[in-house]
Amino acid sequence: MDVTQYAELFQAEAGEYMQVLNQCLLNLEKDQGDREELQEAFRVVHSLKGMAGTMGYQHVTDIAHGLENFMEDFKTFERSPSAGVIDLLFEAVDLLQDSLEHPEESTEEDRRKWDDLLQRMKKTRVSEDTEFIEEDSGSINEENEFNLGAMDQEIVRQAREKGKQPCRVGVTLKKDVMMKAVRVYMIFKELEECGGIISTVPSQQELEDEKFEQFFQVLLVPEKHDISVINEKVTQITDVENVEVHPWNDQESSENDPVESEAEPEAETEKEAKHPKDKKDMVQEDSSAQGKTPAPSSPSEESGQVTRAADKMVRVETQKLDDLVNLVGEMVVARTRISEIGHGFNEDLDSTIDQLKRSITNLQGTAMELRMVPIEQVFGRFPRMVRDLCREKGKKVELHISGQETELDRSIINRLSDPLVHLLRNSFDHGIEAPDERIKKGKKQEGSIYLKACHEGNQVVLTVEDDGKGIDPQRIGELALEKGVITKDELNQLSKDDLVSLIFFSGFSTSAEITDVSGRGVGMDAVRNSIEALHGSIEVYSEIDVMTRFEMRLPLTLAIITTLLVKSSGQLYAIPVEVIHENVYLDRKDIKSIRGNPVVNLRGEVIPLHVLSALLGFDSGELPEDECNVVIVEAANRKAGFIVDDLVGQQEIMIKSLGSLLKGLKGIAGATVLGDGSVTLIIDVAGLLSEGRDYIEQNSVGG
Amino acid sequence: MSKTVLVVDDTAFMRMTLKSMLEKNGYEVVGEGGDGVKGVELYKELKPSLVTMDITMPNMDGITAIKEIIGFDPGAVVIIVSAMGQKSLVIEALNAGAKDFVVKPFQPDRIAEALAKLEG
Repeated sequence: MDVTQYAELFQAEAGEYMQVLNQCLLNLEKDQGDREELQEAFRVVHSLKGMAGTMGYQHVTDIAHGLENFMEDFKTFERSPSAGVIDLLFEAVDLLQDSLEHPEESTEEDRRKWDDLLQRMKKTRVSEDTEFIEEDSGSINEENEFNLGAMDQEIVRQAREKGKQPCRVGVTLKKDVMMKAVRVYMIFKELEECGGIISTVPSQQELEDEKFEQFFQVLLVPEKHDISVINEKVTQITDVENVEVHPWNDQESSENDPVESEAEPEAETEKEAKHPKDKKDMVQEDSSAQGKTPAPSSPSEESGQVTRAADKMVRVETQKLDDLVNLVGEMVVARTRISEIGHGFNEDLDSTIDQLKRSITNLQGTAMELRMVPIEQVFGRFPRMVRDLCREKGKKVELHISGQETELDRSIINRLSDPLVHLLRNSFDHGIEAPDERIKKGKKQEGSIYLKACHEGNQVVLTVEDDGKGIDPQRIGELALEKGVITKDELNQLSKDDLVSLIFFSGFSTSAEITDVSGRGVGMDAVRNSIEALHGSIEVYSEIDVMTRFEMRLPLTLAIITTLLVKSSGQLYAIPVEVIHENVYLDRKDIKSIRGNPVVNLRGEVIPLHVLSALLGFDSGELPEDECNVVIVEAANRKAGFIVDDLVGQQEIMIKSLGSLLKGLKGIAGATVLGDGSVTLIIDVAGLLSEGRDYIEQNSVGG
Repeated sequence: MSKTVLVVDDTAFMRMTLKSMLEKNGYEVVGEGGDGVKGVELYKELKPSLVTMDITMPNMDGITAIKEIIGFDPGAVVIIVSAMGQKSLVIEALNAGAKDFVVKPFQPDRIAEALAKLEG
């Protein structure tokens, strides 16, 4: 069967399982005696193994299998895993994660790592006094004859007296049968319906341990049915290749090897030759001794969520959702157009159009909701990250997460991970003090980082807060001065909050020490840029020795934005409203010139001005003769004024990408189709301002 | 008339592969359940001619589900589809009344064979 078509589903589901698994291990680390977590982790690994096996992902299956065996010991012996064991489990989970990234092939390196870990896991099992059950079938018993103890011989003798003919049942299983022992069990069950099993070759223990290849023999004293019926019944069982049933004469065994069967010590015989009734006991023993799972009692909450969700949900390719949203967007445009054209023709038409409008609005809402996913997808990996960091750096930090159910557009979620990792690691590295330092300050030894998400109106607010040492505005100010980010005058004028906000400027790192974690040359400006690229904003609040809080505000979706439509040189442009500071109406005489470039002094602040069409390179940009409309925008911490001919109005628009030919065009974020069918470019203000950065900078200095 | 099958497994992935495989062999998958509770519920509702049952599942494991299904309908035909390494559980399930078992990862012909034998 071709399973490649399921690879995506496999990955999606495996990803969910990995998160559950990590969460289980984290909980287990906190409470090592938690059987439910262990059971849940076991269940997840087990499911993964089954899935990976079906996909033919050998290496993934191997790891899951090894991990499952390792965990099973702890389940079986009611032993709580030690911290060392949990570390090994985490390590194995990491390898599993790695292997899932390229499941179809494993490198030499992958296998070496896994072998190494497997060895260490085995050692732990041995050192913790755990009975190590070797999986591979060991030596195969070559013996061909039944070993009968005195009692068995007596039973056979009595059977003969009653006129029953003992028979030898030779069964050949198919090649590569899995769980042979259970097949054997099924065959025994069937045979017991027919009579009593006296002995087997190899022994029942060996059959249970699967220490045989394909062939085994059973000595049966039939109570009912004749040989052909027995043959037929066994042949019916799945995975049975061939069955031969022949009458058995015990003389042949005694004659062939009389000494051995006599010399067999009593204990040995008893163990090897079982009566039918004993067999069930043996199976019972097996479940307690080899420790297979008792039925899972009450799975924990999370597991329920994953699987319950599976019942109610349908998985859809994200591309299809994007297409749907796109189509709905086009309908919205057409709707506007229809209502424009059709309005006033006739009352019926008007009311139908109104109805259509409502339906389309609802449809649009539903389509947008389809793209929403809980932010848990991003948050989910952080507990593990913080835990690993604590280990590595010897700090004690508790991560408190709330609002993980908050939903955001998928495309935003995917791009939030990097900035959040950066902020968290920043808090961890530079925020939270070392344990002894915290005690000196009279704080709890364990630091806290709070990660929160919540809805606020049409936005999502994400907060990363730590109770660490805070940001010293004075120090930031001095550094900024040193690096030439601000001037001496500015240093004296800036408020404390403004000084702290300077960390968002590029090339600014307050920590001298470069760690593996943060401060690898990418600073807070990278975080700010990625948040702004999502049409969001970020702010920082800090109090020395109390806390640092980063607050990010993001739109719920990127597909639809609110813009101001403006006209410049006869062409319409859309400017996203979140970058618009204000709109002003300027008289020609208010526009001054610094080194030939137009500026305006707006309430004491000198702001460079640009004719929008000229800034975009469409014309030379003659300044208007008399009055003009100016849109003051702010992005990337820079302000500028765009001189436009006309302000058309505010409108919600659907962003369309420009396609590969025009991709990466500076200053243009995309295009949209307006209600009347005309196409309008959307201005990428941050891009425009950073392009003209040097130019703008020159002109703003000295103001 | 094609035989109706109820597929009970906690992973959507396994349900989908089983379903496509069964359908290729001329069976009609009439229901899918993600745990034992759902499996029992669907059995009572759909009365399929066959059930494929995973063992380790949340809410209610496969063995309990088999017991409930057999309790409801002693003639129910349940096949266990389980991953390797659960020997004693599979045996328990067989004792609970399952008719056969298939090991994940399964080869399609093995399932087809198991099904064919049960029909015969």
